[in-house]
Amino acid sequence: MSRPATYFVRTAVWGAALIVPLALAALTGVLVTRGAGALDANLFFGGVPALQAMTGRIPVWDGIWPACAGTLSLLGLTMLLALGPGIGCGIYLATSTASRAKALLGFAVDLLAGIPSIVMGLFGFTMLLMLRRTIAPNAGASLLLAACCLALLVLPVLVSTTRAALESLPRQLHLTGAAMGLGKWQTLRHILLPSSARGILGGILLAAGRAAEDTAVIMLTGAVANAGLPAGVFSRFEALPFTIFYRSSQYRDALELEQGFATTLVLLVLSLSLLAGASKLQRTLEQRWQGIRDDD
Amino acid sequence: MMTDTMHTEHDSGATASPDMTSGTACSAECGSLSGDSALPQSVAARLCDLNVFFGKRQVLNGISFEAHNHAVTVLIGRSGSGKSTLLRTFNRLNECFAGCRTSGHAQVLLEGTLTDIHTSFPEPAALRTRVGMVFQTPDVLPVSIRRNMTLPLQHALGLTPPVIAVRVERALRDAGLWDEVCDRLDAPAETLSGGQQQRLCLARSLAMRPAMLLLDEPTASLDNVSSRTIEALLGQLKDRYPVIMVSHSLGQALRLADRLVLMGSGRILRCWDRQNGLPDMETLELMLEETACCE
Repeated sequence: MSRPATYFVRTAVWGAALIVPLALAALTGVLVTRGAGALDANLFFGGVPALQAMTGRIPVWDGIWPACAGTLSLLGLTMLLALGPGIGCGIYLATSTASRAKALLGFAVDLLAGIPSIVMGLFGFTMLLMLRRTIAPNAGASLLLAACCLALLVLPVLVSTTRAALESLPRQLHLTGAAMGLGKWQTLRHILLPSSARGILGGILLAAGRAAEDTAVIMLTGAVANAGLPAGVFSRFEALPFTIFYRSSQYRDALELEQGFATTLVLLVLSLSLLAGASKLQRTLEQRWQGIRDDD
Repeated sequence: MMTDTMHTEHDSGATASPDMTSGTACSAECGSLSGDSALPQSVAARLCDLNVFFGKRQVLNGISFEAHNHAVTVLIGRSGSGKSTLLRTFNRLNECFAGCRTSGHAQVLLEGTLTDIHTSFPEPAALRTRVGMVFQTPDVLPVSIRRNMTLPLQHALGLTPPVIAVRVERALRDAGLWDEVCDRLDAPAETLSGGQQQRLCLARSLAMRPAMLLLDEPTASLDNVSSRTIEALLGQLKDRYPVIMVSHSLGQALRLADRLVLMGSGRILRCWDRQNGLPDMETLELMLEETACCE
């Protein structure tokens, strides 16, 4: 490659790499500038004493605490429903030999990944109507319905990342496990899965992030503007993304808009906390598997 | 050639013959196959009319062969001659590859008895705990030195921690690695040099107390000094374990082999025993060139 061409490519690559931190700085800058002023106890609890609000003894109607609890509940339930099938299907696709069924399954996962979230929300809403007309006349939009639809939405992410993480391992690892006298399942459990844990965890985080931020699905399947703390899996709930959407589109004064931005910051911090917690967990599990101890 | 005696095997759809009572039906290509009575204490492994296919391609063609106790058997030949496939027959590792089918008989000496490795082991994993293998490139796991050693002992053999600790130290000593790693067993195995990593792999196999050791070009990725260290180790280990190895180096083959097997086009072309005299380097090179012409 000629010298000017090399210089051009290098500059282009540096420029491309700069876009990400610049975009992140701009985004967080706007959010902090517009929302930091409203970050106080009032934002969370709306004038209710914190302890009583957190324990649910006094309902919170003006704060985002119920939305925080709702989002965490939704996230937990969604991941509970999606993790097993998602990772299991990824393992199946990565470890089974080529067949027509495997090709069809891979195609179905790709197809599912392409479905927009609003369509998934409509699917959940239609399912609800069908349930009401058939076996469950009293069924309503709820945390469980929203979690089921979100689980379907994030399932392809889990399947694809698990599959890719396992398939990217060197073929020699399979042979090493087999040559050591480990069975297929033992090789998978003790060598392949720990070796690909970082990739699988990346997929879990992507899926959790998508579940935490999605609004289209939950606004059709169970999220409402005011519901208090989630009363159970069959009740309606509040969620941070829906609260952000509601406040930023229906605000009546500057304070409400500022609170909308502050709520966005809270959602951002929640996502970052999940990321940090998951990374710490991954490092701990990896060190336990590797049996490596630092002497310093 | 597939025979009527084949039956379906495990994962890869491999096939193998039913139990063989003696081996007398085999015509010998390499070694005496006149039954267990001839050299009952010296036969460590025996193949009889062994064929291996990957899909429609036949990789091994009617191999009959014996390896002896207290001896190093070295397989040589050009790339694609079937050496590694033959080696992997003894621990049924070929079955990990898609489309593998095997026919014929394969026996390994286990607890004093020549045991058919297909009919006696419905699950190949159990066989592989008894037939250790070291690969061409050091295949240490991305874990600590200690964990590399304990993982198969814990999960494949189900041993308790005290027994594992004893076996780990003994195997590392046997592989000449203990003095170099005893104070850093919890360090990542990848921090060891190439030669040390290969000796760690050897130690990992030895810790399983195998009935036989298989080595697939174990020094191919090592420098001269490390290669000589491994060769010296093999010279000591052969008294305790029958060793079958593939070698890329004719010099190494001539230094180590008690039995030298020349392969070409999936067949055994020629066998030599040290006691009857091994060929010289020039003759071997000439024969290898001839096999290239025939392929």
